[in-house]
This record gives sequence, C-alpha cells and structure tokens, in this order.
Amino acid sequence: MLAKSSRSYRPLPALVMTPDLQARLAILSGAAKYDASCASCGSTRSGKGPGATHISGICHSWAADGRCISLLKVLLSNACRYDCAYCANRRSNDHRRVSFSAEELAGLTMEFYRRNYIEGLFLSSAVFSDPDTTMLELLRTLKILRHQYRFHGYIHLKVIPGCSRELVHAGTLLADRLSANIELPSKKSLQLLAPEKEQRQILEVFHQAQGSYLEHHSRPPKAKNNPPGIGMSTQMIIGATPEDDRTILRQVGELYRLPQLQRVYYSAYIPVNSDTRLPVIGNSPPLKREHRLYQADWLLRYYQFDVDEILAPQQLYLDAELDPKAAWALRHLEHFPINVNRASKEELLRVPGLGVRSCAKILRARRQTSLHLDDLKKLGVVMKRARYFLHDGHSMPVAFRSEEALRCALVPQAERQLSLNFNSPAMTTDTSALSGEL
Amino acid sequence: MILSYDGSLPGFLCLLGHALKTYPQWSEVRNLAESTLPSLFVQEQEITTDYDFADKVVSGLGKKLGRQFPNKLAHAFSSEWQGIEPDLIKVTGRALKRGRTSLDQLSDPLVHRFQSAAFRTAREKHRLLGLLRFSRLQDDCFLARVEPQANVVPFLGAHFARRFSDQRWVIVDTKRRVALFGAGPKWSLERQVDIAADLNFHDSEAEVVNLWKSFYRHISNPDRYNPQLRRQFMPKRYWSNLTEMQPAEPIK
Repeated sequence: MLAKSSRSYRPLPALVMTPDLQARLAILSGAAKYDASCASCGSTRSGKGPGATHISGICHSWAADGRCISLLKVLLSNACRYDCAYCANRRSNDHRRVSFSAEELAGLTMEFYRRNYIEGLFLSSAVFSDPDTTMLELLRTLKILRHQYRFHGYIHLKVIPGCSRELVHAGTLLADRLSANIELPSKKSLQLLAPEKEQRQILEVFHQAQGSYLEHHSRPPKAKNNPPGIGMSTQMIIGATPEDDRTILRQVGELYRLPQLQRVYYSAYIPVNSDTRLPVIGNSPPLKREHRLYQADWLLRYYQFDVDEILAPQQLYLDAELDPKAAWALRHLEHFPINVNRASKEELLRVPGLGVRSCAKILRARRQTSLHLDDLKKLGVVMKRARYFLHDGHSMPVAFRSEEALRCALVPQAERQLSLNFNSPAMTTDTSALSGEL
Repeated sequence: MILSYDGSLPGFLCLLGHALKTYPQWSEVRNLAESTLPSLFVQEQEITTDYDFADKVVSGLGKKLGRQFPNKLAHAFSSEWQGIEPDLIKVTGRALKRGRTSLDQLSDPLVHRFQSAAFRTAREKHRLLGLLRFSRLQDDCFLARVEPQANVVPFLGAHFARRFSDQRWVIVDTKRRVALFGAGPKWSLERQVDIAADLNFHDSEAEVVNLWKSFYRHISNPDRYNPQLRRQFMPKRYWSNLTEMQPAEPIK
C-alpha cells in the first residue's frame, strides 16, 4: 500500500493530462500560421446538408498581421518526426506536442462554421508517424465532416508527401483544394535543410492528384457525384537559402507547368531556430522581397510576362524600389507613351498602374466615346503611375521624360532614402501583391 | 410635379414605372418615410405600392435592358444615397431611349453615380457575407446583428439559406430595424424588429466564442504585425459586431 500524502504527490511526466481544447487550439493554430494560403475560391460545392462554397471565396476576418482569415487553419498534430532546419515543429525542438482527434476537429469546424466565423477548414499536420498513417488520420477528419455532418463548405487539405497514391485520390474526392509545399526554391537547399524530404516526392503529389482527377472525370458526367475541379497550390520559403530571384522565378515558371497548380505562395523566412545553416534569430523577415516576388508572380500568371522580361539580362534580384512592371516599362520606354483610345488590351495591361480591372473598364468605356485622360479618373483608374505612360491623342502626358527622371517620379522620396531597409513601413498600404492589380 | 412613394424598393419600382410612362413631367421625388409633410406649392402625386405592377416593371426592364439591370438598379437604390432616386429614373429613361450601351458610358456623371452606388452596395454585401457573426441562442436559433451603411440585409437571404440549410437563423439590421428570418431553404423579411434586451445564449456559446478568440489571436504572425493593413480590409465601423474584436472575457 502506498501511503497517501497529498502534499508530496507530484504527477509523473507520463501521466500529465492532455491540455484542454482551448490550449491545444492555441498551439496548433500558432503552428499553422506559417502557411500563407488561405484561399477559399474556385469551388461551387453545395447540396443537402449544411455549408456551401462561394465561387469568389469569402474572407471572414483579418488578423493583426493584415492577412485574411477565411479557413480554420490548424495542424492536426505538431509532433513531427522530421527535423527540417527552418521549421518550428522540428523533432529536435523542445516544444509541447499536442494533437486533435479527428472527431474533435470536425466538431470544432462545424461550431465555427455555424456562426459564420469561417468558410471551411484548412487541414495540415506534422508527420507524426509514417506518411500513410498521418494522411489516413487527416482523411478521417474530412470523412467525418463530409459524411457524418454532411458538410459542403470549403476544405483545403495539405497532402503529406510520400503517402500512397490511393490516399491522394481519396483526398481529391473529399477536398476542394490540395496542396503540397515545395518548401525551398531548389533541390540542393531542400537536401541541406530538410534531409528527410525529397523534392521528387513532393512534385509527385501534383501528378497523382491530376491522374486521379482525370480518371474520375473520364466517366460519363454525373454532375452531382463529380468533385469540383481540384485546384492545387504550393509554397516556398524566401530568404532562408542563398537562391537569387532569377532562380526562384525560373523555378516558379517551371512549377506553373505542373498540372492543376494554380498558385505559388512565398513566405519570407522568419528565423525560429538557431541553426548554423540558417540566418540568425532576430533577423527581420525579408518582407519587401516577398512582396516583389508576389508582384512578379501576378505578372507571370495574368499579364503574359516572361521571366526574362521581368528581370533584365544579368539582373539577379528584383528592383527593391520599383514594382517589376514599372521596372520593365522603364527599360522599354520605346513602347510608351501609348494612346488610351487605340491601344490593344495587351498593350494596356503592360502600363504600370493599370490592372486587369482598370483595363476592362477602359475597354468598356471607350466603346461608347473617345476618352480623355481626365475621364480615366472618373472611371476609377488610379493615375498615380499610369499618367506618365498614357496619352489620349490630344495631349501628351504631363511629364514624359528620361528613364532617370521617370524613376525619380515613380519612387516615393522616403523609399529612395531607405532603399536598403527591407522593413520600411512605406509598403504597408500597398496591397497589389494581394489583389494583383499592378 | 412631385412624385411621392413609401420608401420601399417595390414602391420605388412602381414610381419608376409611373415616372417613365404616366408622369413624364415629374420634377422631384419625395420619400414619405422620411418626411410626411406635403408641399404647399407644387402639385404632388402619391404613388401607391402595387406589387404586381412592380413585378411588371422588373420584367419589362429585364427584357429591354438585360437581366442584370433590375438587379443593379435594386443595389443602387439600396445604397440609400441622398437623392439617388431621380438619378436612377433619369439613367433608366435614357437607357430605354438610347439603348443599353449608354449604361457603359462611365465618364458621364449620372451613369457613374448609378454604377458606383450599385458597386458600393454590392461590395458591402460581399463584405458582410464574411463579417456577419452569429451567436447561438438557448432555443438553437442563430442571431446576427449588423448596422450596414447600405440597406444590404434583404440581399443576404439566398446566401445564408444555402449554407445554413439545417439551422434557424436571424439577421437583424439594428439601424433600419429590418430582419431576415431563415429556416431550412426558406427565408422572409420582416420590418420593425427589435432585439430583446435580455437574450439567453446557448450554454456552449461562451466556450466557442473563447475558442474563436484564441484562434484569432494565435493565427496572426507577430513578426508581420501590420494593423494598418488589417484596418484597410476590415474597417473599424464593423468591429463592434465582430466577436474576435471584443476584449477577452474570463470563463465562468
């Protein structure tokens, strides 16, 4: 018999109670905050049972860092068996390891969804055992949501690279979007920082998802049973490894050839671990560089730009002072100024400051009447940068000058002085990297 | 001649129909809900709201100016901008005379006002699809309160009926005292609604609210702290009804 003494009793480490839901949610959402993707668009799921998606996606809130919250973004578990140098959840870190059960997480998603807090679930996980077991547990959560709760909201699933083909296939049937993070811009860097991961395995996920999607769609179309098109995305860390912007954009150009890949996200590296292979803790994340890469990314996808147009020959990094479109225009002043009333859509899209929406407005308005430059403001076109590159056939632009003079006019005073400070607060209100209007 | 109506959307549609057909000599529009004092010097004609006639106006305009037009008109009207009614009548009259392409002439001030009023309402509506917050009451009904700038609550029905198809929900515009009641696939609009002073919340409500607040706090990345950017997307006027923007309450 043990003498019962309430004073000397201390719980053994093995008997520590699992933290309550509140504490686990704090840990597992905090661990998921490095994933940049939060899109909930492109799906038109609806049916009997709660939940539906909205084609353009809906943002439900914005966190204190200004990023939108659309999905309940959590890890199922943060107990990782890998030891990737850049990751806060790596095996060698002395962190509290917790996890949700599939039932718990599905229930929480429904509670949040019914209060209109979220658009759906973004589910990722640390690899707590082998990839297949981890993936099975993720899929079990999705199954509870889709089959037990008959939930038709948005689900974004992170595929665990290295899991078997059948599980990816099951994922395409349950989720609206799949993703797998490429993590780093080159194979070499991945080998150095995440020796347990293989780039080949990550890229394989995209091909598997495409394969099972096509397989499913080659059957006679039965609208109700078909999953909506699986959009895929990926993410890479910027500034942890020595790759220059040219290498990164080349790699991204390659990635966009992958089937189903719709979006690459960039994540400025925030040092979380002390590791000789990485920048030191306390270094501020290269937010400005990330911002310029996002802008270049939009140019690749929606403005028919080529990597070699975005960067001049021999130029390794994007211009820190100027957005890549303005930088291109300054190198090609022979194309400007162009006539608002006669330029083609492609030409208009190349004007700095005219985004896809502004161009559509101009095209629509000029069908009725010829436009003056003053009219453009009334259309809601922002003329801050565009005015140097446009004319209306009546008057030449106010100040069409040499490359140097234009650069002076386009770069704000404050930024010219602080051009090396990557954290300059001047970019706080520039949302072009998010909206894609350049 | 002054045309007066009851301030509702169907009322305005009737007024629009009469202004274009019966009373082309109209000069002003008066909203009876705002001021009931009749004018002493100008002749005034009150237009009574007739739902069948309003339907006819909608289908007629839809045939002539495209199916999207009545929808856009309703959005522009619901912006509740000062003096928007006469502008909408003029724009519609001109589009009927010169063809629907005149609605694309964005450099014209009238067309611009019409398009931007419709755009503002549509934007606020889309914003609220995300920013509405429901609380669960003791009787399992989910309640959301909101004070939008434009009268957008009537446009929200289809969206929430589709996603909340297995729960009862209410959205109350406390500024206009208008409410949408939803149950299953159906919803209805009620006027003169007030929220009771003593609401009984569901037992689980406080816990879920705390979970959400905790999630909101931890999903933000402190190294990227940027409150200006947040305010740009989520204007402060909506914060009073946002669960996550309320200070944390101690758990009972």
